[in-house]
Amino acid sequence: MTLKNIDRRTFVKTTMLGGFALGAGIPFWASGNNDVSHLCILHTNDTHSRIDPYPSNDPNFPMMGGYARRAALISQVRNQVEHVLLLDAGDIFQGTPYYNIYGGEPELRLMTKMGYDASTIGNHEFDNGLDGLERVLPYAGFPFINSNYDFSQTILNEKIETYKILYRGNLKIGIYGLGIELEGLVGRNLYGNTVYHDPIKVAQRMEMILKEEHHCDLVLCLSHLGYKYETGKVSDVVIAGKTRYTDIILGGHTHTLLDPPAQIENAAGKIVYIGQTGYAGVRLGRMDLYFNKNSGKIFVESNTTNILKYQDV
Amino acid sequence: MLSLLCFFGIFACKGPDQQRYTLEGSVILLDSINVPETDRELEKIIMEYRESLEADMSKVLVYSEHVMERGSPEGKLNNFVADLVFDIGKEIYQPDDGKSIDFCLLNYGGLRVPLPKGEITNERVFELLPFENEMVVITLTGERTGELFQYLAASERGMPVSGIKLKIKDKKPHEVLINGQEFDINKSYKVLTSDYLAGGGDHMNFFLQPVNYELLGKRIRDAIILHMQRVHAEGKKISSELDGRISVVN
Ligand SMILES: [Zn+2]
Repeated sequence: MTLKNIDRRTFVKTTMLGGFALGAGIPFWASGNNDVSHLCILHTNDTHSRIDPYPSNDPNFPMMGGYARRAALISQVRNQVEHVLLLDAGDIFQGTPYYNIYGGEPELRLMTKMGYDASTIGNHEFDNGLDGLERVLPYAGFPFINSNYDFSQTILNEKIETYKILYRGNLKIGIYGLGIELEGLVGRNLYGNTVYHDPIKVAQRMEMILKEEHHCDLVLCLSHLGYKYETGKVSDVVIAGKTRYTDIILGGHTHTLLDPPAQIENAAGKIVYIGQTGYAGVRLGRMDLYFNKNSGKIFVESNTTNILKYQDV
Repeated sequence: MLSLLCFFGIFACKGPDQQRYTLEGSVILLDSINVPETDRELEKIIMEYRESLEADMSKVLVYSEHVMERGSPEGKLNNFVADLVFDIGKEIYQPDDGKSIDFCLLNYGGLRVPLPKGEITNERVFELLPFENEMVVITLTGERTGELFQYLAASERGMPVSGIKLKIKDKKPHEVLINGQEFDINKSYKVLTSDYLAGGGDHMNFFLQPVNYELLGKRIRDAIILHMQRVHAEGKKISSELDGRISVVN
Protein backbone atom coordinates (compact mmCIF):
# COMPACT_ATOMS: atom_id res chain seq x y z
CA MET A 1 0.00 0.00 0.00
CA THR A 2 1.36 3.34 -0.91
CA LEU A 3 0.61 6.93 -0.22
CA LYS A 4 -1.06 7.15 -3.57
CA ASN A 5 -3.62 4.52 -2.75
CA ILE A 6 -4.31 5.77 0.73
CA ASP A 7 -5.07 9.21 -0.58
CA ARG A 8 -7.16 8.13 -3.48
CA ARG A 9 -10.43 8.70 -1.70
CA THR A 10 -12.38 10.97 -3.90
CA PHE A 11 -13.03 14.46 -2.91
CA VAL A 12 -16.60 15.24 -2.03
CA LYS A 13 -17.77 18.08 -4.17
CA THR A 14 -19.95 20.39 -2.17
CA THR A 15 -21.93 23.06 -3.84
CA MET A 16 -23.06 25.95 -1.76
CA LEU A 17 -26.10 27.95 -2.52
CA GLY A 18 -26.82 30.94 -0.35
CA GLY A 19 -24.41 29.59 2.20
CA PHE A 20 -26.07 26.18 2.53
CA ALA A 21 -24.67 23.02 1.19
CA LEU A 22 -26.72 21.03 -1.24
CA GLY A 23 -26.77 17.28 -1.33
CA ALA A 24 -25.02 16.04 1.78
CA GLY A 25 -26.29 18.99 3.72
CA ILE A 26 -23.01 19.48 5.54
CA PRO A 27 -20.29 21.70 4.15
CA PHE A 28 -17.26 19.53 3.53
CA TRP A 29 -14.93 21.57 5.71
CA ALA A 30 -17.22 20.95 8.63
CA SER A 31 -18.02 17.36 7.90
CA GLY A 32 -15.15 16.03 9.97
CA ASN A 33 -13.94 13.54 7.42
CA ASN A 34 -10.38 13.53 6.17
CA ASP A 35 -11.09 13.76 2.49
CA VAL A 36 -8.52 15.64 0.56
CA SER A 37 -8.65 16.86 -2.95
CA HIS A 38 -5.89 15.14 -4.85
CA LEU A 39 -4.49 16.60 -8.04
CA CYS A 40 -1.80 14.80 -9.99
CA ILE A 41 0.28 16.92 -12.36
CA LEU A 42 2.25 15.04 -14.99
CA HIS A 43 4.78 16.99 -16.98
CA THR A 44 7.39 16.76 -19.70
CA ASN A 45 9.81 19.20 -21.33
CA ASP A 46 12.32 19.22 -24.17
CA THR A 47 11.02 15.95 -25.58
CA HIS A 48 12.68 16.92 -28.87
CA SER A 49 10.78 14.71 -31.30
CA ARG A 50 11.91 11.47 -29.55
CA ILE A 51 8.86 9.59 -30.76
CA ASP A 52 10.64 6.22 -30.70
CA PRO A 53 12.59 4.99 -27.69
CA TYR A 54 16.36 5.47 -27.91
CA PRO A 55 18.10 2.65 -29.82
CA SER A 56 19.51 -0.27 -27.83
CA ASN A 57 23.11 0.88 -28.40
CA ASP A 58 22.57 4.32 -26.95
CA PRO A 59 25.15 4.94 -24.22
CA ASN A 60 22.81 6.93 -21.98
CA PHE A 61 19.23 5.79 -22.48
CA PRO A 62 19.14 2.41 -24.26
CA MET A 63 15.54 1.53 -25.19
CA MET A 64 14.22 4.24 -22.91
CA GLY A 65 11.56 6.84 -23.50
CA GLY A 66 9.29 6.90 -26.51
CA TYR A 67 5.80 8.27 -26.87
CA ALA A 68 4.03 4.89 -26.66
CA ARG A 69 5.67 4.10 -23.32
CA ARG A 70 4.90 7.55 -21.98
CA ALA A 71 1.28 7.12 -23.06
CA ALA A 72 1.05 3.79 -21.22
CA LEU A 73 2.28 5.35 -17.99
CA ILE A 74 -0.10 8.27 -18.35
CA SER A 75 -3.05 5.90 -18.80
CA GLN A 76 -1.95 3.98 -15.75
CA VAL A 77 -1.96 7.16 -13.68
CA ARG A 78 -5.34 8.17 -15.08
CA ASN A 79 -6.74 4.82 -13.99
CA GLN A 80 -5.57 5.47 -10.45
CA VAL A 81 -6.13 9.17 -9.98
CA GLU A 82 -9.29 11.02 -10.87
CA HIS A 83 -7.83 14.48 -11.37
CA VAL A 84 -4.83 14.62 -13.65
CA LEU A 85 -3.21 17.55 -15.42
CA LEU A 86 -0.81 16.75 -18.25
CA LEU A 87 1.48 19.57 -19.32
CA ASP A 88 4.55 20.24 -21.44
CA ALA A 89 7.09 23.03 -21.07
CA GLY A 90 8.19 23.33 -24.68
CA ASP A 91 10.77 22.16 -27.20
CA ILE A 92 8.48 19.40 -28.38
CA PHE A 93 10.10 19.79 -31.79
CA GLN A 94 13.51 19.09 -33.28
CA GLY A 95 15.99 16.35 -32.57
CA THR A 96 15.02 13.39 -34.74
CA PRO A 97 14.20 13.07 -38.44
CA TYR A 98 10.51 12.83 -37.53
CA TYR A 99 10.52 16.57 -37.13
CA ASN A 100 12.57 17.24 -40.25
CA ILE A 101 10.26 15.16 -42.38
CA TYR A 102 6.85 15.75 -40.83
CA GLY A 103 7.31 19.18 -39.24
CA GLY A 104 5.80 18.30 -35.85
CA GLU A 105 2.57 16.69 -37.04
CA PRO A 106 3.11 13.30 -35.34
CA GLU A 107 4.34 14.88 -32.09
CA LEU A 108 1.20 17.01 -31.75
CA ARG A 109 -1.18 14.26 -32.89
CA LEU A 110 0.29 11.82 -30.38
CA MET A 111 0.31 14.33 -27.54
CA THR A 112 -3.34 15.00 -28.26
CA LYS A 113 -4.01 11.24 -28.01
CA MET A 114 -2.23 11.20 -24.65
CA GLY A 115 -4.59 13.93 -23.49
CA TYR A 116 -2.20 16.81 -22.98
CA ASP A 117 -3.99 19.76 -21.42
CA ALA A 118 -1.52 22.44 -22.51
CA SER A 119 2.00 23.22 -23.60
CA THR A 120 4.10 26.33 -23.78
CA ILE A 121 6.33 27.36 -26.68
CA GLY A 122 10.02 26.49 -26.66
CA ASN A 123 12.62 28.12 -28.88
CA HIS A 124 12.71 25.03 -31.13
CA GLU A 125 9.02 25.40 -31.86
CA PHE A 126 10.18 28.19 -34.20
CA ASP A 127 12.60 26.00 -36.14
CA ASN A 128 10.40 25.80 -39.22
CA GLY A 129 9.43 29.42 -38.88
CA LEU A 130 6.09 30.86 -37.80
CA ASP A 131 4.48 29.33 -40.88
CA GLY A 132 5.90 25.93 -39.97
CA LEU A 133 4.34 26.14 -36.51
CA GLU A 134 1.08 27.55 -37.80
CA ARG A 135 0.76 24.72 -40.31
CA VAL A 136 0.92 21.95 -37.68
CA LEU A 137 -1.00 23.72 -34.88
CA PRO A 138 -4.32 22.18 -36.00
CA TYR A 139 -2.91 18.77 -35.00
CA ALA A 140 -2.72 19.92 -31.38
CA GLY A 141 -6.01 19.31 -29.60
CA PHE A 142 -4.66 21.31 -26.67
CA PRO A 143 -3.73 24.97 -26.30
CA PHE A 144 -0.27 26.49 -26.50
CA ILE A 145 0.07 29.03 -23.73
CA ASN A 146 2.53 31.90 -23.78
CA SER A 147 2.18 35.23 -22.00
CA ASN A 148 5.34 37.12 -22.97
CA TYR A 149 5.53 36.76 -26.74
CA ASP A 150 3.40 39.21 -28.65
CA PHE A 151 2.24 37.43 -31.79
CA SER A 152 -0.28 40.10 -32.81
CA GLN A 153 1.75 41.15 -35.86
CA THR A 154 2.25 37.54 -37.00
CA ILE A 155 0.22 34.71 -38.50
CA LEU A 156 -0.03 33.21 -34.99
CA ASN A 157 -2.21 36.11 -33.89
CA GLU A 158 -4.98 34.72 -31.64
CA LYS A 159 -3.73 31.17 -32.08
CA ILE A 160 -1.71 31.15 -28.87
CA GLU A 161 -3.38 31.57 -25.46
CA THR A 162 -2.06 34.25 -23.12
CA TYR A 163 -3.27 32.24 -20.14
CA LYS A 164 -5.73 29.46 -19.54
CA ILE A 165 -7.96 28.40 -16.68
CA LEU A 166 -8.65 24.71 -16.24
CA TYR A 167 -10.95 22.99 -13.79
CA ARG A 168 -10.35 19.73 -11.98
CA GLY A 169 -13.11 18.78 -9.59
CA ASN A 170 -13.59 21.84 -7.44
CA LEU A 171 -10.14 23.18 -8.19
CA LYS A 172 -9.62 26.16 -10.43
CA ILE A 173 -6.18 26.14 -11.97
CA GLY A 174 -4.68 29.14 -13.73
CA ILE A 175 -1.84 28.57 -16.15
CA TYR A 176 0.41 31.14 -17.79
CA GLY A 177 3.46 30.61 -19.99
CA LEU A 178 6.90 32.18 -20.31
CA GLY A 179 9.20 31.95 -23.33
CA ILE A 180 12.91 32.66 -23.64
CA GLU A 181 14.47 35.68 -25.40
CA LEU A 182 14.52 34.76 -29.07
CA GLU A 183 17.13 37.19 -30.32
CA GLY A 184 20.47 35.47 -30.70
CA LEU A 185 18.86 32.07 -30.13
CA VAL A 186 16.43 31.76 -33.01
CA GLY A 187 16.93 33.13 -36.52
CA ARG A 188 15.09 36.40 -37.10
CA ASN A 189 13.57 35.10 -40.29
CA LEU A 190 12.04 32.31 -38.19
CA TYR A 191 10.40 34.30 -35.41
CA GLY A 192 9.54 37.24 -37.67
CA ASN A 193 7.54 39.97 -35.94
CA THR A 194 7.17 38.12 -32.66
CA VAL A 195 7.89 40.58 -29.84
CA TYR A 196 9.49 39.37 -26.63
CA HIS A 197 8.51 40.96 -23.31
CA ASP A 198 10.27 40.83 -19.95
CA PRO A 199 9.18 37.54 -18.32
CA ILE A 200 9.40 38.92 -14.77
CA LYS A 201 6.90 41.72 -15.36
CA VAL A 202 4.65 39.45 -17.38
CA ALA A 203 4.73 36.75 -14.68
CA GLN A 204 3.77 39.30 -12.02
CA ARG A 205 0.90 40.59 -14.15
CA MET A 206 -0.33 37.09 -15.02
CA GLU A 207 -0.38 35.81 -11.46
CA MET A 208 -2.30 38.90 -10.35
CA ILE A 209 -4.90 38.28 -13.04
CA LEU A 210 -5.18 34.59 -12.21
CA LYS A 211 -5.26 35.06 -8.45
CA GLU A 212 -7.01 38.35 -7.85
CA GLU A 213 -9.37 38.53 -10.82
CA HIS A 214 -10.05 34.85 -11.39
CA HIS A 215 -9.44 33.54 -7.86
CA CYS A 216 -7.58 30.45 -9.01
CA ASP A 217 -6.80 27.86 -6.36
CA LEU A 218 -3.52 27.12 -8.01
CA VAL A 219 -1.32 29.23 -10.25
CA LEU A 220 0.97 27.32 -12.58
CA CYS A 221 3.68 28.66 -14.81
CA LEU A 222 4.79 26.73 -17.87
CA SER A 223 8.24 28.08 -18.60
CA HIS A 224 10.83 27.64 -21.27
CA LEU A 225 13.25 30.12 -19.69
CA GLY A 226 15.61 27.52 -18.24
CA TYR A 227 16.10 26.53 -14.61
CA LYS A 228 19.02 28.73 -13.51
CA TYR A 229 21.97 30.64 -14.97
CA GLU A 230 25.28 31.67 -13.44
CA THR A 231 24.95 34.99 -15.23
CA GLY A 232 21.78 35.94 -13.44
CA LYS A 233 19.85 35.85 -16.72
CA VAL A 234 16.13 35.48 -16.16
CA SER A 235 15.28 31.88 -15.26
CA ASP A 236 12.72 29.84 -13.33
CA VAL A 237 14.62 30.48 -10.12
CA VAL A 238 14.49 34.23 -10.77
CA ILE A 239 10.76 34.10 -11.58
CA ALA A 240 10.08 32.09 -8.42
CA GLY A 241 11.82 34.70 -6.29
CA LYS A 242 10.01 37.64 -7.89
CA THR A 243 6.45 36.35 -7.77
CA ARG A 244 3.90 36.01 -4.96
CA TYR A 245 1.11 33.76 -6.18
CA THR A 246 2.77 31.33 -8.53
CA ASP A 247 2.66 27.94 -6.83
CA ILE A 248 4.47 25.75 -9.31
CA ILE A 249 6.78 26.33 -12.24
CA LEU A 250 7.12 23.53 -14.76
CA GLY A 251 10.26 24.37 -16.69
CA GLY A 252 12.44 23.37 -19.60
CA HIS A 253 15.19 24.50 -21.95
CA THR A 254 18.21 23.80 -19.71
CA HIS A 255 17.47 20.04 -19.80
CA THR A 256 17.80 20.01 -16.02
CA LEU A 257 16.69 16.98 -14.03
CA LEU A 258 15.01 18.12 -10.82
CA ASP A 259 14.16 15.08 -8.75
CA PRO A 260 12.60 15.93 -6.39
CA PRO A 261 11.34 19.35 -7.53
CA ALA A 262 13.32 22.37 -6.39
CA GLN A 263 11.86 24.57 -3.67
CA ILE A 264 12.50 28.29 -3.92
CA GLU A 265 11.19 30.98 -1.61
CA ASN A 266 9.01 33.55 -3.36
CA ALA A 267 8.57 37.28 -2.76
CA ALA A 268 5.98 36.54 -0.09
CA GLY A 269 8.18 34.02 1.73
CA LYS A 270 6.26 31.02 0.45
CA ILE A 271 7.63 27.99 -1.33
CA VAL A 272 7.47 27.71 -5.10
CA TYR A 273 8.04 24.24 -6.53
CA ILE A 274 10.01 23.98 -9.75
CA GLY A 275 9.93 20.81 -11.83
CA GLN A 276 11.99 19.83 -14.87
CA THR A 277 12.54 16.32 -16.20
CA GLY A 278 15.77 16.37 -18.20
CA TYR A 279 15.17 15.90 -21.92
CA ALA A 280 14.10 13.64 -24.77
CA GLY A 281 11.06 12.32 -22.95
CA VAL A 282 12.95 9.59 -21.14
CA ARG A 283 11.29 10.68 -17.94
CA LEU A 284 7.85 11.80 -16.84
CA GLY A 285 7.55 14.30 -14.01
CA ARG A 286 4.86 13.77 -11.43
CA MET A 287 3.62 16.05 -8.69
CA ASP A 288 0.85 14.97 -6.36
CA LEU A 289 -0.93 17.77 -4.58
CA TYR A 290 -3.12 16.96 -1.62
CA PHE A 291 -5.30 19.91 -0.78
CA ASN A 292 -5.84 20.35 2.87
CA LYS A 293 -9.39 20.42 4.12
CA ASN A 294 -8.25 23.20 6.42
CA SER A 295 -7.03 25.22 3.52
CA GLY A 296 -9.49 27.92 4.33
CA LYS A 297 -11.69 27.59 1.32
CA ILE A 298 -15.43 27.84 1.16
CA PHE A 299 -16.95 26.65 -2.05
CA VAL A 300 -19.81 28.75 -3.26
CA GLU A 301 -21.76 28.65 -6.42
CA SER A 302 -21.05 31.45 -8.77
CA ASN A 303 -23.88 33.87 -9.45
CA THR A 304 -23.47 33.70 -13.16
CA THR A 305 -22.36 30.17 -13.88
CA ASN A 306 -22.38 26.77 -12.34
CA ILE A 307 -18.65 26.87 -11.95
CA LEU A 308 -17.57 26.49 -8.36
CA LYS A 309 -15.72 29.42 -6.92
CA TYR A 310 -14.16 29.84 -3.56
CA GLN A 311 -13.49 32.68 -1.26
CA ASP A 312 -10.84 32.83 1.36
CA VAL A 313 -12.12 32.66 4.91
CA MET B 1 4.33 -1.85 -10.47
CA LEU B 2 3.60 1.81 -10.82
CA SER B 3 2.70 2.29 -7.20
CA LEU B 4 5.95 0.66 -6.20
CA LEU B 5 8.01 3.04 -8.24
CA CYS B 6 6.05 6.04 -7.15
CA PHE B 7 6.99 5.23 -3.63
CA PHE B 8 10.55 5.68 -4.70
CA GLY B 9 11.77 9.22 -5.01
CA ILE B 10 8.77 10.49 -3.17
CA PHE B 11 9.27 13.19 -0.65
CA ALA B 12 6.88 15.12 1.43
CA CYS B 13 7.26 18.86 1.54
CA LYS B 14 6.30 20.66 4.66
CA GLY B 15 7.09 24.17 3.57
CA PRO B 16 5.57 27.33 4.97
CA ASP B 17 2.56 27.31 2.64
CA GLN B 18 1.37 23.94 3.77
CA GLN B 19 -1.91 25.41 4.90
CA ARG B 20 -3.14 24.80 1.36
CA TYR B 21 -1.61 21.57 0.15
CA THR B 22 1.15 19.06 0.50
CA LEU B 23 3.14 18.28 -2.59
CA GLU B 24 5.02 15.11 -3.41
CA GLY B 25 7.17 15.17 -6.48
CA SER B 26 9.12 12.56 -8.34
CA VAL B 27 10.45 11.89 -11.81
CA ILE B 28 9.79 8.50 -13.34
CA LEU B 29 12.27 6.92 -15.75
CA LEU B 30 10.49 5.50 -18.76
CA ASP B 31 12.31 2.19 -19.09
CA SER B 32 10.95 -1.32 -19.57
CA ILE B 33 11.16 -2.03 -15.84
CA ASN B 34 9.08 0.91 -14.68
CA VAL B 35 6.73 0.80 -17.66
CA PRO B 36 6.71 -2.67 -19.21
CA GLU B 37 3.81 -2.03 -21.57
CA THR B 38 3.50 0.49 -24.34
CA ASP B 39 0.30 2.00 -25.64
CA ARG B 40 -0.96 -0.09 -28.57
CA GLU B 41 -3.06 2.62 -30.11
CA LEU B 42 -0.15 5.04 -30.19
CA GLU B 43 2.18 2.39 -31.55
CA LYS B 44 -0.18 2.02 -34.49
CA ILE B 45 -0.11 5.72 -35.32
CA ILE B 46 3.66 5.85 -34.90
CA MET B 47 4.04 2.90 -37.26
CA GLU B 48 2.49 4.87 -40.11
CA TYR B 49 5.09 7.56 -39.77
CA ARG B 50 8.00 5.27 -38.91
CA GLU B 51 7.70 3.02 -41.92
CA SER B 52 8.01 5.72 -44.54
CA LEU B 53 10.66 7.47 -42.51
CA GLU B 54 12.78 4.36 -41.98
CA ALA B 55 12.97 3.51 -45.61
CA ASP B 56 14.29 6.96 -46.27
CA MET B 57 16.59 7.28 -43.29
CA SER B 58 18.37 3.95 -43.33
CA LYS B 59 19.89 4.62 -46.75
CA VAL B 60 23.70 4.63 -46.62
CA LEU B 61 24.97 7.82 -48.26
CA VAL B 62 28.71 7.26 -48.06
CA TYR B 63 31.46 5.60 -45.99
CA SER B 64 33.85 7.49 -43.75
CA GLU B 65 37.58 6.71 -43.39
CA HIS B 66 37.55 7.63 -39.71
CA VAL B 67 35.56 9.14 -36.87
CA MET B 68 35.02 12.88 -37.20
CA GLU B 69 34.37 14.88 -34.08
CA ARG B 70 33.95 18.55 -33.49
CA GLY B 71 36.79 20.27 -31.67
CA SER B 72 38.32 23.54 -30.53
CA PRO B 73 40.09 25.54 -31.83
CA GLU B 74 39.59 23.22 -34.81
CA GLY B 75 38.15 19.76 -35.31
CA LYS B 76 37.91 17.22 -38.11
CA LEU B 77 34.18 17.59 -38.19
CA ASN B 78 34.41 21.40 -38.19
CA ASN B 79 36.75 21.29 -41.19
CA PHE B 80 34.80 18.64 -43.06
CA VAL B 81 31.51 20.49 -42.84
CA ALA B 82 32.91 23.98 -43.46
CA ASP B 83 35.00 22.88 -46.46
CA LEU B 84 32.22 21.15 -48.28
CA VAL B 85 29.61 23.80 -47.54
CA PHE B 86 32.12 26.36 -48.87
CA ASP B 87 32.72 24.28 -52.02
CA ILE B 88 29.05 23.80 -52.76
CA GLY B 89 28.30 27.43 -51.94
CA LYS B 90 30.90 28.64 -54.43
CA GLU B 91 29.49 26.26 -57.00
CA ILE B 92 25.91 27.51 -56.79
CA TYR B 93 26.56 31.18 -56.05
CA GLN B 94 26.05 33.46 -59.04
CA PRO B 95 27.26 36.90 -58.01
CA ASP B 96 25.90 40.07 -59.61
CA ASP B 97 29.24 41.76 -59.16
CA GLY B 98 31.38 38.84 -60.36
CA LYS B 99 33.05 38.52 -56.95
CA SER B 100 32.96 35.04 -55.48
CA ILE B 101 32.71 34.08 -51.80
CA ASP B 102 35.80 34.79 -49.67
CA PHE B 103 35.31 32.34 -46.84
CA CYS B 104 32.83 30.26 -44.88
CA LEU B 105 31.88 30.48 -41.21
CA LEU B 106 29.47 28.15 -39.43
CA ASN B 107 28.99 27.39 -35.73
CA TYR B 108 30.28 24.74 -33.39
CA GLY B 109 26.91 24.36 -31.67
CA GLY B 110 25.31 23.49 -34.99
CA LEU B 111 27.25 20.22 -35.25
CA ARG B 112 25.09 18.04 -33.06
CA VAL B 113 26.72 14.57 -33.21
CA PRO B 114 30.06 13.13 -34.43
CA LEU B 115 30.28 11.15 -37.67
CA PRO B 116 31.34 7.53 -37.10
CA LYS B 117 33.87 5.54 -39.11
CA GLY B 118 32.18 3.44 -41.81
CA GLU B 119 28.54 3.74 -42.86
CA ILE B 120 27.07 7.20 -42.85
CA THR B 121 23.30 6.94 -43.10
CA ASN B 122 20.86 9.62 -44.05
CA GLU B 123 19.67 9.52 -40.46
CA ARG B 124 23.15 10.30 -39.16
CA VAL B 125 23.33 13.39 -41.31
CA PHE B 126 19.93 14.49 -40.01
CA GLU B 127 21.19 14.04 -36.48
CA LEU B 128 24.39 15.92 -37.28
CA LEU B 129 22.43 18.85 -38.71
CA PRO B 130 18.83 18.67 -37.53
CA PHE B 131 18.14 22.34 -38.16
CA GLU B 132 16.58 23.59 -41.35
CA ASN B 133 19.28 26.18 -41.93
CA GLU B 134 19.74 27.78 -45.31
CA MET B 135 22.99 28.86 -46.90
CA VAL B 136 23.41 32.64 -47.04
CA VAL B 137 26.11 34.88 -48.51
CA ILE B 138 26.67 37.96 -46.39
CA THR B 139 28.75 40.87 -47.62
CA LEU B 140 30.47 42.60 -44.70
CA THR B 141 32.49 45.78 -44.44
CA GLY B 142 36.15 45.37 -43.46
CA GLU B 143 35.34 46.68 -40.03
CA ARG B 144 32.59 44.11 -39.45
CA THR B 145 34.87 41.39 -40.83
CA GLY B 146 37.41 42.48 -38.24
CA GLU B 147 34.76 42.01 -35.54
CA LEU B 148 34.14 38.54 -36.91
CA PHE B 149 37.78 37.60 -36.35
CA GLN B 150 37.71 39.10 -32.88
CA TYR B 151 34.67 36.96 -32.16
CA LEU B 152 36.47 33.84 -33.40
CA ALA B 153 39.58 34.65 -31.37
CA ALA B 154 37.57 35.22 -28.18
CA SER B 155 35.31 32.18 -28.63
CA GLU B 156 35.78 29.22 -26.33
CA ARG B 157 34.50 26.91 -29.05
CA GLY B 158 36.12 26.17 -32.38
CA MET B 159 33.88 27.55 -35.08
CA PRO B 160 33.90 25.63 -38.37
CA VAL B 161 35.67 27.79 -40.97
CA SER B 162 36.96 27.36 -44.48
CA GLY B 163 39.07 29.68 -46.63
CA ILE B 164 40.84 31.40 -43.76
CA LYS B 165 43.86 30.89 -41.56
CA LEU B 166 43.66 32.45 -38.11
CA LYS B 167 46.35 32.62 -35.44
CA ILE B 168 45.07 33.65 -32.02
CA LYS B 169 47.18 35.25 -29.33
CA ASP B 170 45.73 36.26 -25.94
CA LYS B 171 42.23 35.69 -27.27
CA LYS B 172 42.82 38.25 -30.04
CA PRO B 173 43.44 37.72 -33.75
CA HIS B 174 47.20 37.69 -34.26
CA GLU B 175 47.44 36.79 -37.91
CA VAL B 176 44.56 36.55 -40.38
CA LEU B 177 44.80 35.20 -43.90
CA ILE B 178 41.79 35.12 -46.20
CA ASN B 179 42.36 32.90 -49.18
CA GLY B 180 46.11 33.27 -48.56
CA GLN B 181 45.91 37.07 -48.55
CA GLU B 182 46.35 39.18 -45.47
CA PHE B 183 43.08 40.59 -44.08
CA ASP B 184 42.51 44.19 -45.20
CA ILE B 185 40.14 46.28 -43.10
CA ASN B 186 39.53 48.61 -46.05
CA LYS B 187 38.03 45.86 -48.19
CA SER B 188 34.61 44.24 -47.98
CA TYR B 189 34.28 40.46 -47.77
CA LYS B 190 31.71 37.90 -48.76
CA VAL B 191 31.04 35.31 -46.08
CA LEU B 192 29.10 32.11 -46.58
CA THR B 193 27.13 31.20 -43.47
CA SER B 194 23.73 29.95 -42.31
CA ASP B 195 20.62 32.07 -42.09
CA TYR B 196 20.58 31.29 -38.38
CA LEU B 197 23.96 32.91 -37.81
CA ALA B 198 23.24 35.68 -40.30
CA GLY B 199 20.27 36.57 -38.11
CA GLY B 200 22.58 37.14 -35.17
CA GLY B 201 22.42 33.56 -33.84
CA ASP B 202 25.16 32.60 -31.37
CA HIS B 203 25.55 36.34 -30.82
CA MET B 204 27.27 36.80 -34.17
CA ASN B 205 26.11 40.39 -34.18
CA PHE B 206 28.67 41.39 -36.83
CA PHE B 207 26.34 39.73 -39.35
CA LEU B 208 23.48 42.08 -38.53
CA GLN B 209 22.93 44.99 -40.93
CA PRO B 210 25.24 43.64 -43.62
CA VAL B 211 26.14 45.37 -46.88
CA ASN B 212 24.33 42.62 -48.73
CA TYR B 213 22.31 39.50 -47.82
CA GLU B 214 21.85 36.80 -50.45
CA LEU B 215 20.00 33.55 -49.79
CA LEU B 216 21.37 30.69 -51.87
CA GLY B 217 18.16 28.70 -51.59
CA LYS B 218 19.88 25.58 -50.37
CA ARG B 219 19.84 24.00 -46.94
CA ILE B 220 23.17 23.20 -45.34
CA ARG B 221 22.11 19.64 -44.70
CA ASP B 222 21.09 19.19 -48.32
CA ALA B 223 24.51 20.45 -49.41
CA ILE B 224 26.17 17.84 -47.21
CA ILE B 225 23.97 15.05 -48.51
CA LEU B 226 24.72 16.15 -52.07
CA HIS B 227 28.46 16.12 -51.40
CA MET B 228 28.33 12.68 -49.78
CA GLN B 229 26.37 11.23 -52.68
CA ARG B 230 28.95 12.59 -55.11
CA VAL B 231 31.90 11.19 -53.17
CA HIS B 232 30.15 7.83 -52.98
CA ALA B 233 29.36 7.84 -56.71
CA GLU B 234 33.08 8.35 -57.37
CA GLY B 235 33.78 5.21 -55.34
CA LYS B 236 35.53 7.19 -52.61
CA LYS B 237 35.16 7.62 -48.87
CA ILE B 238 34.88 10.86 -46.94
CA SER B 239 37.73 12.01 -44.69
CA SER B 240 39.00 15.14 -43.01
CA GLU B 241 42.28 16.51 -41.68
CA LEU B 242 43.34 18.99 -39.04
CA ASP B 243 45.43 21.61 -40.84
CA GLY B 244 45.91 24.32 -38.25
CA ARG B 245 43.47 26.74 -39.88
CA ILE B 246 42.69 28.06 -36.43
CA SER B 247 45.53 27.91 -33.92
CA VAL B 248 46.54 29.50 -30.67
CA VAL B 249 50.05 30.91 -30.48
CA ASN B 250 52.04 32.17 -27.53
ZN1 LIG C 1 14.88 25.18 -25.54
